[in-house]
Amino acid sequence: MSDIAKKEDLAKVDLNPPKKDWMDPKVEFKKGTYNYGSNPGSMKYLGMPFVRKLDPTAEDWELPENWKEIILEGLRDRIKKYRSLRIFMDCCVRCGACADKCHFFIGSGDPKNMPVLRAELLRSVYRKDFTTAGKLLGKMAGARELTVDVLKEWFFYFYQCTECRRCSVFCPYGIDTAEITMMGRELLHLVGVGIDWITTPASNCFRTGNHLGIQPHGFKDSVDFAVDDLEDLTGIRVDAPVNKKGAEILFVVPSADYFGDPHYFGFLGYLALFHEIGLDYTFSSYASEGGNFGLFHSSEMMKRLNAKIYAEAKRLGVKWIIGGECGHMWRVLHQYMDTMNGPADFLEVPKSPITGTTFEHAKSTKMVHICEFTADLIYNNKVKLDKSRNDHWKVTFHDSCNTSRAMGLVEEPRYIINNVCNNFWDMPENTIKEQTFCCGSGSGLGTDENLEMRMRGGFPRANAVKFVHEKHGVNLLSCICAIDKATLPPLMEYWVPGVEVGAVHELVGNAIVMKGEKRTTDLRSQPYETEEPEAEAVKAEEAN
Amino acid sequence: MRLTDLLQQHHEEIVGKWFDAIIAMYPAGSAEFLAKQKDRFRNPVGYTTRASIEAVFDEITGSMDSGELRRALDDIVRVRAVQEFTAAEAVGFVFLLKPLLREVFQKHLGDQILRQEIVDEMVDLETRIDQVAMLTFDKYMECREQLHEVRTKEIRSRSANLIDSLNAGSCVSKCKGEPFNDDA
Repeated sequence: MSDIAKKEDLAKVDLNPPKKDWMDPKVEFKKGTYNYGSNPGSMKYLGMPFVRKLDPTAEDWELPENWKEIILEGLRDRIKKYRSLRIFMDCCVRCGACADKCHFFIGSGDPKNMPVLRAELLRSVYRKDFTTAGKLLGKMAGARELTVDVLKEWFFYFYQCTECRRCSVFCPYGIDTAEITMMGRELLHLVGVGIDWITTPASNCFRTGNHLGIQPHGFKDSVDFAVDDLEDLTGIRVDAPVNKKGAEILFVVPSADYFGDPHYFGFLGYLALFHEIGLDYTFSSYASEGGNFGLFHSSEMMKRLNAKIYAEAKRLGVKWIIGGECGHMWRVLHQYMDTMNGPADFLEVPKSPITGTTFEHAKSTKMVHICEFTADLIYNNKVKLDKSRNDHWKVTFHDSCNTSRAMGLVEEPRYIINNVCNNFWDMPENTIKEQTFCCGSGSGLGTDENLEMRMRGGFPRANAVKFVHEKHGVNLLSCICAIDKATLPPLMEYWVPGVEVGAVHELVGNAIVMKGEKRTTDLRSQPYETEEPEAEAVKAEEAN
Repeated sequence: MRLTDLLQQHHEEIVGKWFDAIIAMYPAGSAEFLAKQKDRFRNPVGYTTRASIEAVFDEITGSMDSGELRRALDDIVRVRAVQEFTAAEAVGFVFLLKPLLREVFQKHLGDQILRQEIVDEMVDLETRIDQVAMLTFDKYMECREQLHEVRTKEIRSRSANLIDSLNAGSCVSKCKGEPFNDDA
């Protein structure tokens, strides 16, 4: 027995979390929970400073010698420039209303993902260098010295915020933590610290007009390919003009729509709809991207990448613009485009040529969301729809953060879905509309290397989907955001197997009855569930 | 008194203590929220943990049906497999039950705990817990493997789209030396 180790000498597995003060900035870059650094080629192309390949796990980040001075100067500039930032730095009373609203906090249990604490990461440095109390009392006043570890902590946590703004809905002062994250990221970029999933698409976009780097002839090929596909599926050859001068409407979509899966089925839906109503529109091979990864980078980058939209509208001589299904694209178009690159006084106030409806709310930007446009068509009975063609889908709807919270687009998609599907169930009230839970992968965080963090952040959303999946047999999570369509499928695969993801306009494309069509399948080439898909359409026509 | 009766009688107390011990594995700043917020949509981690261990405990004190156990364990392990836990921490929650049960038995049985039939029952109970621990490890591995499959599939589907597009004649080739990324 003397050879047997004593209890206290046994290998220990401690199941208690380490005691840690929030002011301690040390973070561990564990595989699966962070994004790779920017590609030097892309940084160079965009003219970013201090070009190098950043390895977040490295001890030495090869920061410029005067990095601290650059960051503090950058913070000073931004506080002067943005009154909102100054207020957000000063007015938080730490009431805790935001604390349990962040999907990353809820899914991970990491206290630094409470929006209040994530903001404190920046606020503590602000206090130290910009407030008298912080200068005099230091730590006692919640002030922290800016160190390399603090910078690394910023990188870790400002790229664990998807800028979804759910927390801001609950803040009594209206503090927008997304804007604090934006500022944090801008400051990091000043010393050459960024992530590649943002920098390279931004660089591609600056070069070719879209995140994928598709050149104009490639864009034209992609559209033509979709026209061929739609003909195979419906027997109808539609016209999808590119760079048609003098068209009435410019149509701008996120590039994933003509490239990604399941986005592409929504793209086919747009083409079918526009053909059926005889819309005079055009794509632009230069404004070939509605999305704008500049938003996740800096305000200057966002402005640079957005400029092409009004420029192309002007070059092509259109009257107004429609935009496709995308999330962050609409935050930029709805909230920033007008003041960044406007006024678009060469355009007309959008008026539907089919229904005569004037879109007063878009009087200034001159750009209308496709869901607003389609909902108006349906409301005015301008399209023939056969709901039964979507009977194989039991549908729920995920409100994208940007369309719901940044532009209030919550009823139009539901109105459309209810008119093109027989089976729709909303998720619980505190997980949808203004309170929607993010997909967990927005604002440039949807990388495969960051998958574990995405699964944590996406858990609250998946949990609500699981509820309607189990209660009502929901098998389709519809949405109107390109990032959602790319990142919700893996989320569903892990958390709620058996639920597919699809565009709202895919459902429209399935339901729309086209004159002279010959269809036996839906847009995914799946056979219809009912034997006579047109029966209901005929009934609907008789009723009209 | 038999142990099984005691477990039935003190079911709520035991599961409650087990839940508290599991939640204490999270950092102090979040443990309170995870323990107290009862809304299943506002606090899915707390809700899932509670519901899952309730079902696991029912099996430990009941029929130990492996299908039911796997189903019950799936929910809690799926969460812990992607959180900031090592493998030992992720599955270690099962073992938290052992000292807790000993404490409860000591409290309610006093010296009777040394009676042979009670000792036999305790050995049987601890064997059941060990079996649950092994199933938990299987489930953890299943989740981790699935995570890697999901990642591989995501990478594959992105390159497949690129190849499809090239085959269809789209020119998405990059200019030499210029950046390129197939992600949007």
